[in-house]
Amino acid sequence: MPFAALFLAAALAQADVPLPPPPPGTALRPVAEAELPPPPPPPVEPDAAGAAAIAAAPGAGALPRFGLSLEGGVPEGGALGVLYRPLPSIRLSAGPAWNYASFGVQGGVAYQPFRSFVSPVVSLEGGRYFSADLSFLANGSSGVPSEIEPLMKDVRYTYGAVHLGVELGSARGFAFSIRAGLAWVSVLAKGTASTSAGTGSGAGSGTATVEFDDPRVRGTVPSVKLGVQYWF
Amino acid sequence: MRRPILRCDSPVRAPRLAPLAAALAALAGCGGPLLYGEVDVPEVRITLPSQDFPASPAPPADWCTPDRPECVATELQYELGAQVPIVNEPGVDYALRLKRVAIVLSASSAGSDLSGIRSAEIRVLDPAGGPGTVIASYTADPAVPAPTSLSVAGNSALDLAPFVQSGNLRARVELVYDPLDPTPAFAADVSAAFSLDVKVDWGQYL
Repeated sequence: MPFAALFLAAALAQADVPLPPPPPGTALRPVAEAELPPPPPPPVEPDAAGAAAIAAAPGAGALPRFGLSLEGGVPEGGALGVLYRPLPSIRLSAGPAWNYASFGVQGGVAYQPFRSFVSPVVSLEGGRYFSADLSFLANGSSGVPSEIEPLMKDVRYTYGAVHLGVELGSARGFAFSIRAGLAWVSVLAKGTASTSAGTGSGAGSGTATVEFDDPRVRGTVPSVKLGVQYWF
Repeated sequence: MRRPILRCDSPVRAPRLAPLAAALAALAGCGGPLLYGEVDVPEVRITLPSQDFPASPAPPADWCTPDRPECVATELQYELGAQVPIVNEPGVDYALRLKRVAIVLSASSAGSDLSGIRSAEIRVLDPAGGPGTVIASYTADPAVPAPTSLSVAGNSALDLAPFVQSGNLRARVELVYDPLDPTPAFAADVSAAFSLDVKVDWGQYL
């Protein structure tokens, strides 16, 4: 997996290399500016112009600043977000989240290097789910041992994720996105679970008692996310 | 006279990909595995019930060393593989540290208290042999003349994982008795509190 990321990084870094030299006979040469045709007016750099450009640009150049999004992913869950574009290539999102077990909040930032009907996007996001009671999972049919039920009454879930993907659609209306990446998750189970297992070594010893307090599981997992957004 | 310039178009969009390339390069170069899992249990308490401890004076077979009749030893074994099964999983790396240990006289024990114990040491035994490493020590408190339990802090700086073999952790309790205060054999519950940090490299399963 690190090699894949490294390869992708190298490929993207190639984009910073200047374009290949022109064919023979058209090599670069110093010319007097007087020989040149009148230069076109300098293009307006949207990022440099910033938020003012968004507001001031008339007609087709103006991008909506606000939007709504609906996204679902693993392991992030589902989220409804309010979108805001401080710059044409940057958008911020925040809103409530839900993962079947509990509600939470999430927020993130996404970067689109350029816009077309199919545009690349890289995003960074994080979220936190409030305490959830998952003790209903501790039964024979779910495969979760009943001994750990006390640990499932107060489960808290936090995550962060980085995604790379594409968006299809309009930057001024509906767009659909599909992204994949890596998520960091942290699950804290508050409580104490008690089991009996193994034996001691003494002649009169019985079964040992094992108690676990407040275990926390952290790690990284692959992540995939789908979403739709609407700008208005 | 105007300065000559180079007629050369520079890519407009390419520099915008630079932050993305840098982020991915950083991700690839973090050093650790990209996919990992970690289970952190702040406290795992394992209680071995009714462990038998020899009387004092004890027969020579129970002495800590042939020249120390006042010191008697008994061995304990923690079947970690059964009690904390994750430590036996393949591809798992873990750290196990002792936080504290308590020896509590069983209610059914013949002895009425532990006043005959002047000091105690708990050693974790190396699978390769040797006297083991002291992980907890106890000295009787004169202010408590008739204790029914001993409780001491463990050496939490020592990782006990290297001492686990085939899922078993062996320890040795050495009790130094007061020769003027004969103590009958007794049974006690030995409760040890550990911290456990387990790491799994998911990537090797892909």
